[in-house]
Amino acid sequence: MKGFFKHISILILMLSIGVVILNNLYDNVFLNTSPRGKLQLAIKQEQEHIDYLFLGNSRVENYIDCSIIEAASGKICKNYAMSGSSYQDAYVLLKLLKRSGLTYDNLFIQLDPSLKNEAMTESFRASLVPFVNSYEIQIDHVALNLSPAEDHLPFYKYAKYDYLYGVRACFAQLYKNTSEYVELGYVPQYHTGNSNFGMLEDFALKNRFTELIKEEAVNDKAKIHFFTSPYCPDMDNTVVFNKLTSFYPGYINYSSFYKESHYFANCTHMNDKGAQVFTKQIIKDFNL
Amino acid sequence: MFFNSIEFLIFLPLCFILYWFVVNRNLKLQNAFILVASYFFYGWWDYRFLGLIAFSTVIDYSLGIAISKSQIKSRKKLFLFISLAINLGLLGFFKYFNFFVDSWIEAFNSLGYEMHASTLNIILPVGISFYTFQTLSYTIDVYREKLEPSKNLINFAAYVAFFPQLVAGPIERATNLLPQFSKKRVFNEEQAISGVNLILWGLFQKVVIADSCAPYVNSIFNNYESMNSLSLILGAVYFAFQIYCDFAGYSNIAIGTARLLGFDLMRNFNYPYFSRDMAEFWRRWHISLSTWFRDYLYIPLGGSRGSKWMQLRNVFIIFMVSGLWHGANWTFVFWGFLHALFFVPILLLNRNRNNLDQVAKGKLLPSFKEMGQMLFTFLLACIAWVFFRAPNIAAAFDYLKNVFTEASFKIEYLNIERYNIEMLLILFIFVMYEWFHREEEHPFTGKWKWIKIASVILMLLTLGVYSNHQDFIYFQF
Repeated sequence: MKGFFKHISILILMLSIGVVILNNLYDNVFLNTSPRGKLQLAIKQEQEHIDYLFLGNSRVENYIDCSIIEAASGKICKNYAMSGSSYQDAYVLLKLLKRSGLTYDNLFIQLDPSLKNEAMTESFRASLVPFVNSYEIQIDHVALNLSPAEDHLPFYKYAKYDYLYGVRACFAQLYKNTSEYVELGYVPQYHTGNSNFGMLEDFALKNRFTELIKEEAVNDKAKIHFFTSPYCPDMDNTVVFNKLTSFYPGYINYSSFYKESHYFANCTHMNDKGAQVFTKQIIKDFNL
Repeated sequence: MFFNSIEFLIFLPLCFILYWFVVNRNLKLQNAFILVASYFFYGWWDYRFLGLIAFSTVIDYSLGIAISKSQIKSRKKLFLFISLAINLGLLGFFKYFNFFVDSWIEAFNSLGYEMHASTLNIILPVGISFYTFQTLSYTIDVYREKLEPSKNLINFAAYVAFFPQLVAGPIERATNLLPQFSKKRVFNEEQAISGVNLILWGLFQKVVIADSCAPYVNSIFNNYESMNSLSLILGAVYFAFQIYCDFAGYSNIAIGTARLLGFDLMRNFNYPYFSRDMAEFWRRWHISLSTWFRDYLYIPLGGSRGSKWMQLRNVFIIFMVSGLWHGANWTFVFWGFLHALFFVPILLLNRNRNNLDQVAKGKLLPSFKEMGQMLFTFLLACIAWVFFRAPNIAAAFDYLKNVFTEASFKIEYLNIERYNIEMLLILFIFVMYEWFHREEEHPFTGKWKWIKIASVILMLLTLGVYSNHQDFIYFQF
């Protein structure tokens, strides 16, 4: 039994040393290198004044090409939308940007059926995990506490979210964090397709976090604009968006604006060609 | 409860401590504890199917005694037949009912007869194929008078439900495992240490190799129409390693866990991809199943006795039944059929016992001939794996056709945002580990033992897949 426990003890010791060393190594890489991705940019980089700030999910990230807006208006435009994110994620991102010194004049929020989701997405929460304690991030109305295991067990947070912080991400953070590799704004879709998505169902018209974003914009003396990005021509029941007009002043519904399916990568996302046309429409309608 | 879960990480040490420090006073307590622990382990997944294991246990326990007590041959045969009918009936119902109904309807419809029948929503109890074969081996061996029937229900129930190998084998013979339940286990340090090392190696195979291959395999097989030749070839290679490391990993953890409790289970894999022909491959792949089929199906059918035609018939029967054992899909049957085909030239040339030794025994590297033989055998195995992995036979043929028609060998960037090169590097390291330890059970031997253990722990931490937890593939069988 003695030899067996000695064997087990050495294994546990090796494992313990391994997790402590790797935890420190990964902390160093993820916390102290230049930002990779929009969330890290919001946390790590000092922010400046932005004239037009776009927040939302892939239906903004794939739709708004800020370079066109900047060329047309001569003002600064940033697309901070993140694919798959919720309105709570957008709210947290806005708070993080402000925490890093951001000021803005116009905030654009895209509304779609994800209004029904008030939770933070798992991937967004996971992306925040290494930074919450080290950067002392606290945000009103949002619970960002780490689980005891994430907080106290060395390396647990990196193993748990290995799809975001595995060895591959570690190397990418070190060697692929230049603008050449990092998608920091508009992310175009290049293919064309038009899979029928079916029919839009009724959804919640209000979301706790769109309300908080509204309050935030009012406090920051910025204008807030609401719109819905286009769906493919096959999408049924886009009239459900008309109900949003009464809750979101100045709201523009573009959901069935385009009849040409070649503008779409799929039914819920425009491709690059569509995004170019749509961005110009936004410039025109919002007088940017 | 999965071997690669947090629950098992708590369950196993707890079991170990209770087993060796609390219930180690006598055999009865040890066996009762194993039975309770095994039912708890299985019930964690779905307690409703515990009744099925208990039913199977009581039936085979009673029939074993009945067979042994019967003086008349025909009555012995009747009891054996009842055991076969009940065990295979349960397996057939839970695993194959819908498959046969669907196939029946399809056959009728293809002949122009409109036929409708509804299938049932049946959940496949995890491990049913494994413990059914295990209990069958018991009654058959009692019938053949190779084994005395168990007179102790607790011992027998613990043998059937023994948690390390309950859900995915190795399929233990009663002649090997059951007698171990009749002797009080005494802690053996060497056995326990080798058990821990096997668990570590099994975890590495599963969490680092198999689970890393999984997203590549899924990405390539799910999009095979748009993949180029190189990616399709790599897809088959990745799947070959995924299924091997998934199942061998499980088997090693099972054998290691059993050793921690003082039991010796049979070896299930013996570096099958270093085989020089298909006969050798089958002596090294899923050994507990292939020897089961050999002893309980192939030999009773006549085995290698009789004319060549009879031998060929027997080979096709066991391979196709073995394919069907894996799952209720024609792809598995075809996979077995292909292996039988690969076996034909070996059988006709009487070369099925040509390569009984380990390849390049005592040498650092294989000869060119051996290397060529190993690569050719691996190629055949990969072709068959395409059928095993594809959703249907037509898709598998399409996949193979595209290997030749999408003739581009450019390294593609997969839709999982990864390059093939990363996975190939991991596989290369793994193959090197296996090659240089092919005469051992696992690599953690010799004077560099601790260095090798440390490197595997490091790879487990850095390359292991923990977020996208993959179930063991063989659980579905």
